[in-house]
Amino acid sequence: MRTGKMNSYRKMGVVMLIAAVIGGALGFLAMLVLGGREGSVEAGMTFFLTQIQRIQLPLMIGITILSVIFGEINLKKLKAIGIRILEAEDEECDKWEYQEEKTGAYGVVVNILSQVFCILILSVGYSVRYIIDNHHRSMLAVCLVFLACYAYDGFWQARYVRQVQYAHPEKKGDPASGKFQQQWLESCDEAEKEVIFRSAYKAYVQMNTWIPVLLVLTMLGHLFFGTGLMAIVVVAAVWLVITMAYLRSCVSLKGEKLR
Amino acid sequence: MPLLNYLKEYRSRMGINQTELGKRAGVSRQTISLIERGDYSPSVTLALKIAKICQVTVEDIFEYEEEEV
Repeated sequence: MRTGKMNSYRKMGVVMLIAAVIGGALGFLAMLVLGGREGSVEAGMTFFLTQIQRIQLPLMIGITILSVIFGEINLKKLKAIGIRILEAEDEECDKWEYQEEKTGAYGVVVNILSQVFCILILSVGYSVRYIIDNHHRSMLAVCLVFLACYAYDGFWQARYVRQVQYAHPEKKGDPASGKFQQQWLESCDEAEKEVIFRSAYKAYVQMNTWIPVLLVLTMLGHLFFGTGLMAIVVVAAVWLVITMAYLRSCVSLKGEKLR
Repeated sequence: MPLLNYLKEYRSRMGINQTELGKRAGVSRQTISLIERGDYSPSVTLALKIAKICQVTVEDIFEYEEEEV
C-alpha cells in the first residue's frame, strides 16, 4: 500500500518535471522566434482586426443566413423523424430515436456555433473608440443583424424542444421558463437521467483538462502579445466557478442523505 | 453483463409493445428497450414495478449470473 503511494508521488513528480522542461523549451523557442518582433506581431493583429472590421456586416449577415438555412433544414428533418417515431414499432423505433438524437445534436452545435461567431464578430467592433470614430452607422447595422441572429437562434432552441416534445409527449418543460432544465429533468425516467448525469460528469472532466490548457494559452498570449490580464482572469474565474459548483453539489447531496 | 433478463418473452406473452409496457411502468419506451437488450440494469423499484405488471416475481424476469474469474 505504502509503495503504491510512493509510486504515485514519484510519477506525479516526473510528470511535473517533464512539463516544466517542455514549458521551458517552448518558452525559449518562442523567445527566439518572437523576441524583438512584438511590434510586427501587434501590427499583424491590428491589420487582421481591421480587415474583419471592414467585412463585419457581410460576415454577420452571412452567419445569420447560414444559421437560418441550417436551422430550418434541421427542424424539417427532425419533424420527419418525429413522425416516424410515432408510427414505428419497438426495434425500428430505436433506430429513429438514435437518428433524432444525432440530428438534434448537430442542430444544437450549429446553433451554438452561430451564437459564438456572432459574438466574436461583434466584439471586433464593440468598442466606444471604434464607434465614435465615424463607424456608428455600420456598427448599428451590425448590432441589428446580431440581435436578429440571436433572436432566431433563441426561437430555434424553443422550436427544437417543442419538436422533441411532439415525438415524446412525456417530456415536460416550458422552454421560455427559467426552470426549464429542472422541469425537463423531472420528466426524465431513471435511464434517461443516468445518461444526463454521466454526460454531465464527462463534460466536467473534459473541462478540467481544457481549462488549464486555456489558462496557459492566455498567459502565453499575455506574455508574448500583451493580450491583457482580462482573458486570464475570465478563464481562471470559469475554472473556479465550475469546480466550486461541482463540489457544492457533492457536499449538499451527501448532506441530504444524512438528514 | 451479469444481469440476464427475460422481459421480452414476458412482454410478448402479454401481447403488449414496449411503449405500452413503458406507460404502465411509468418509464419511456427507450428504457424498456435498453432493459430488454441488457444495456441498462433497472433500479429495484422499477424491477419490482415491471414484475408486478407482468404478474410474476422479479427473479422470474431478472437473473443474476456470477461472472467467471
